[in-house]
Amino acid sequence: MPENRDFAEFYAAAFPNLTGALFMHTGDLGEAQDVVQEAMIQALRRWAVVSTYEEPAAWVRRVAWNLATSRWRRLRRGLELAARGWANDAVAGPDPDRVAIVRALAELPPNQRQAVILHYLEDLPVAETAELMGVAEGTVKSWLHRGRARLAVLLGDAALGGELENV
Amino acid sequence: MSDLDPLRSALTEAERSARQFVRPPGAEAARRTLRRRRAVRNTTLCMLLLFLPLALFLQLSSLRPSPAPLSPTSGPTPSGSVPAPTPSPSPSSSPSPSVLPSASVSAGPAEVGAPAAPASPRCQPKAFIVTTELSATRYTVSLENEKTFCPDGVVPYFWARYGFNAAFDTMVLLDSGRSRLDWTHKRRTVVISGTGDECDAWFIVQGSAAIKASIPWPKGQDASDPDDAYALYGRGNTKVAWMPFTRSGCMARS
Repeated sequence: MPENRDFAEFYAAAFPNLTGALFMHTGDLGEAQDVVQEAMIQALRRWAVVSTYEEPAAWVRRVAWNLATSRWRRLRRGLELAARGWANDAVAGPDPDRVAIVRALAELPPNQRQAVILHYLEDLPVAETAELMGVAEGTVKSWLHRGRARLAVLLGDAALGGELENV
Repeated sequence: MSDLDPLRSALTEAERSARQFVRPPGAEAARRTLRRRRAVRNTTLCMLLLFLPLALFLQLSSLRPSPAPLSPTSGPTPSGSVPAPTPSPSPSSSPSPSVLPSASVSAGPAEVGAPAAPASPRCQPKAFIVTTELSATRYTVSLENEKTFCPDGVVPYFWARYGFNAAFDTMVLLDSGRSRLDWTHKRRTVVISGTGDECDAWFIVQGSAAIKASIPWPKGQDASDPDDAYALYGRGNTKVAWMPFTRSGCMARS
C-alpha cells in the first residue's frame, strides 16, 4: 500500500526532528511528542494532499507549532494532566538541569523562543520564520537579536550573543 | 549563518541529547487514532440523525397547543327554589347527602365543545379548583391548571350551605350538592340559593368528603380547618370558598 508506506517513511524521518525542536520550546518531551503526533494525525487525514506538497514536513511543522503555541491546547493538556496525575504522564527525557540551554530558553518570551529555535535550530531563513509565525521579518530580526542577547546573559557566555550578522 | 555559531551549536547539541529519549508512538498509532476518531464521529452523526428527529418530535409534542380555554357559562343556571328546610334539630342526625335537596341548588350546565385530546406525558391528572364569585349566589368553579390537565383527570367537589338554628345553637345543613370537573367540563357554575340570610354559611370544597348534617355554632369558624374535630371536611380536601359568619348581625348572636 504505497500511501501507507510513504506516510510511514515520512513519519519515521520527520518525527524525531520535529519533536526535538518542540522539546526545546516546551521543555517537556511528553508534550512535544503529543504535539507532533497530533500534527502527524492531521497530516495523515489529509495525506492524499499533503503528500503532494514539495515539503510535507513544512506543513507538519506549521501545524505542530500552531498546536504547541495554542493557548487552548495548553490549557486542555493541563487539565488532562491534572485529571490523570502529573507523575503518571512523565516521559523520560534529558534532565533540564543538565541542559542549561533549555532552561535558558524557557526564560525567553514565547515569541523570542520560537524565533530562535526556528531560525538557529531548524535553519529556517528569517523570511520563512516570519511567514510561519505570521509576523514581519523585521519583527523576527528584533526577536532574534533580543533572544540572543538574553541567552548570552542567562548562560554567562558572551559568545552566544553573537553578531547581528548571524541573523 | 556560520556552523561555528556557538548558539547554533548549543541548540543542536541539546536537541540531539533530547532526541535519544524520543519514543515515537508510530505511524500505525496515528492510523489507529484517526480510525477511532472517524468511528466516533460517524457514531455521533448516526446518533444525531437517529435522535434529532425524535427530540424534535418530543419538543413539538410538548409545545402542542392545549385546547382553547373555556369561558364560563353565561346563561342562566337551572336553579330551583329552595324548599324551606326543616332539618332535624338533633346534631347527631346525619342525613345522607343523597337525600339532601341537592337539586335545589345545582351546578350549572357542563361546558361543551371541549375537544378530546390524547394524554400528554406531562399532563397533570390532579388539579386544584378555583372559584370566582359571579354574584351573590353564583360561582364559577374552574381548574387552576387547566392547560396541563390530563384528559382522563377528574376533580370532584361539593358545596354545602348551612343555616343557623338558634334553638340548638348549631349550624344545620340546608342544601348541598356534588359535582366534578373533568376534561370536557373544566368549568361549572354553581348557584347557591338562599344566601341572603346573614347567618347562612356556605362552602365550595374540593374533594369527596362526607357532607356533615350540622356544625356546632361555636365551632362554626373552625369548619375550614381539616384538623379540627368539627371540620366540615377532612384532610385531603381543599376549601376553596368560605363564606361563613362574617356578618355582624349573626356574629352578635354568637
